[in-house]
Amino acid sequence: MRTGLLPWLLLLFALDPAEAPARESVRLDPDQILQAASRWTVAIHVDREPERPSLPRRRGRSLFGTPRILQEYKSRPSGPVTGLLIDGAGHVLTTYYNVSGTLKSVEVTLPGWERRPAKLLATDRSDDLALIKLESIPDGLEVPPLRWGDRDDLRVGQFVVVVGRAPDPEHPTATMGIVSALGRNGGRVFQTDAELNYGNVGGPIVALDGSFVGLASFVGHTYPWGLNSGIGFGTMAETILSVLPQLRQGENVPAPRRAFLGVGPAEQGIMAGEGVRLGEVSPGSAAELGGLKAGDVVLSIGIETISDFVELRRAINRRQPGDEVEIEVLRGSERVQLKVRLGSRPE
Amino acid sequence: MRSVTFLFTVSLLFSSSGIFAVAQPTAGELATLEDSVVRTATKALPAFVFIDGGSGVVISSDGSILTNNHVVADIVKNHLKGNNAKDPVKLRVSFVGGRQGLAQVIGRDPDGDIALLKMVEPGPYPHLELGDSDRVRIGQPVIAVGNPFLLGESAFAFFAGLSDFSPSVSLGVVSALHRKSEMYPDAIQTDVAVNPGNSGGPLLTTEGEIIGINGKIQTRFLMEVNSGVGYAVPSNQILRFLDPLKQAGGGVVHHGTIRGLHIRGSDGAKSLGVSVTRVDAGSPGEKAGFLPGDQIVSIEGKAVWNGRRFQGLLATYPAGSRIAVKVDREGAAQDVEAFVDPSDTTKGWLGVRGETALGSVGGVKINVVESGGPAEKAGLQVGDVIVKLDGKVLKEHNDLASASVEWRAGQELKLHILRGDREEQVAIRLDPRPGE
Repeated sequence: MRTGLLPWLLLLFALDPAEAPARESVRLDPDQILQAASRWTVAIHVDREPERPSLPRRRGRSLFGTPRILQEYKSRPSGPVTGLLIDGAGHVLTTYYNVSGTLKSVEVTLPGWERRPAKLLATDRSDDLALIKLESIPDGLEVPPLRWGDRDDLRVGQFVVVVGRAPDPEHPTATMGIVSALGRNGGRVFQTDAELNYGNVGGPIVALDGSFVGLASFVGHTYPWGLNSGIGFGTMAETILSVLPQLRQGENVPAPRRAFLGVGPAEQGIMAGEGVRLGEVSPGSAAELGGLKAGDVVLSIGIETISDFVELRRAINRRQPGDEVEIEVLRGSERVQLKVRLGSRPE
Repeated sequence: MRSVTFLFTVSLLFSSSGIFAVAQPTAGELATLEDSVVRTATKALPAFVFIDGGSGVVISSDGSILTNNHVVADIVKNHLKGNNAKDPVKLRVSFVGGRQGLAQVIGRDPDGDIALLKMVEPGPYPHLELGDSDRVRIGQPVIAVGNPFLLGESAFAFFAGLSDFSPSVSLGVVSALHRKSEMYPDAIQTDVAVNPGNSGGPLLTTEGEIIGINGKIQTRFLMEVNSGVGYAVPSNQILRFLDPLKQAGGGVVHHGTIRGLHIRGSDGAKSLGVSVTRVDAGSPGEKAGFLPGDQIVSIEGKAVWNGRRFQGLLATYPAGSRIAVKVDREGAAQDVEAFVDPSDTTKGWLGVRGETALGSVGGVKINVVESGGPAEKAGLQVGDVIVKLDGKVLKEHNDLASASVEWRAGQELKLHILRGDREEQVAIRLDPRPGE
């Protein structure tokens, strides 16, 4: 990715030789950022079979009686959503959310051109990504390659701009915020407080140096944080580039395997504050191979003290299949340190 | 960051023509602000504390932690019901990166929604300093650090691969000051993104000083998400409560009132200020020197412009404080030194649980005598039947429950109880209700 950026740095010099070459200090005026980003930002019009509102399940209570306002809030609104044109072949990146459901048709409005049909190529649901492709490219469409940001340059607190093309494809929208956190979703997604709504998700997230650092994602009527709450996410450039080849081939990216230890708590084993007594160790599992035995009391995993089974499960879920962890157990009256290589959660 | 949306919308409208010069930040100005936000976030993260579904912040190197009372209230309440109720309350907390530790509850201020904890392990701990909230200006950028929707601590697995102890940082501006709203008497209102899980976390300036603790948001459409209106308890109020909290021994600190002082707030646009309508004879208000007709101008040098402001400002002082009040008495300025007494509205607690007693006499049979409560101290026992309360016959449990709504801390109750076949009279002074 670094070599790919070099031509772009040179191009920047050509545009404005007064700018210093160091990447950190190249920050553009808001006008420049928006003009650059909005060129690639497109509107997507999705026609789908009707969906039910995504209301929280309530025991014994039907939809009847749910306040209308809440029903509307928990339904997908009508109108276009946003996507990012990423190459001259007509590939458009957007969120899985934007194209979920039973689709009847997908059309794209490129800025300055009329609406034209597109088709859904493939999705990566766990990263909230989807790739669609225009069925025909307008003559004379120029799409210079995008300048993707480098994951190592992302800092909590740095400013980002999200560009959208909803509700009016003719006029782009912009919201601005900061990078709120890194490392969400196993490091594949960052969090931002730039306002995201059900229309601008799928749009590009741009840093002050004009690079594309992510795609606005994980906001939709099915998520608990709603819209415009200052909780929003960006699927990182690196994540996108890693799955693009597969998506271009029309292959859906499967959900990642989750780490698995293979233990269950003993019936009277959950002693709050004193660790987890293991009732069973699955044969052939990572736990058995690592030397854990039924009756062991798990005291800590890595640096975390474990006081109940919820914490144990959490500590495992936080890791990847193949990770090696140090597990400390109490066996009888002895403390035993074990090194366990985590397996994959069986489907 | 709502406040900058307008700037961008305007710049978009004019960007293509380039003819109009509109006030929008240049790359340089944005860069300066961005640098200070990144720096503050870097400084703040090590001082951030994850506390059971909410947030907290370390305020000194000895490991003292501030959070909202409502973040720890349930834990305290459950602790007091348990077997180790007399032991100090300790909570498991974690830091960025996953390091865990125990923090002890040092003191709580339920009315002000603040709690002070302290790490059991000695420090030094990375911390942030409390700043001067009276110097905060409307429009000033502020930064919140918290754990909205528990995203940082993965208490519920939203994402397939969970995040690893990194809180959420957000940027906004101060929208208003001295808000008497949502149970906070003198809140800082801000549009910074704060959501459930941010409670107890710090509100910082771009220099990294704590000017408030985030605690409440105004919500709409039945959705518990931020809508651009959040409230923080201001640092100056917290600073006044720090010493009482440190000396509370795990207990509760109270707010107060000037007893016997009756005021009427301004009647709107024209006249400003607060006037004293009546001063009860023999009351602390009379002893302090207030007279009917006095116009209250300021408390401790801070202007009082109407009745709400008076109530709000007064509520930022702990019970037991001495405060300097300036009044206007027939055109001349007067200084009055007032004493803040515990508020009459602190609810009283007896410390028993019971049920309607069987048999013709009726009454309330005590099933539980709560540990450390007034009933226990007065010698009430499980099995005692309360038959009269302050001269009134109690027939069933509901009689006791409905009377208890009116109880105030410090109030004395006279109970007639049956123990076996003996009748006894017990006088009990009520304590403030613990674990609000």
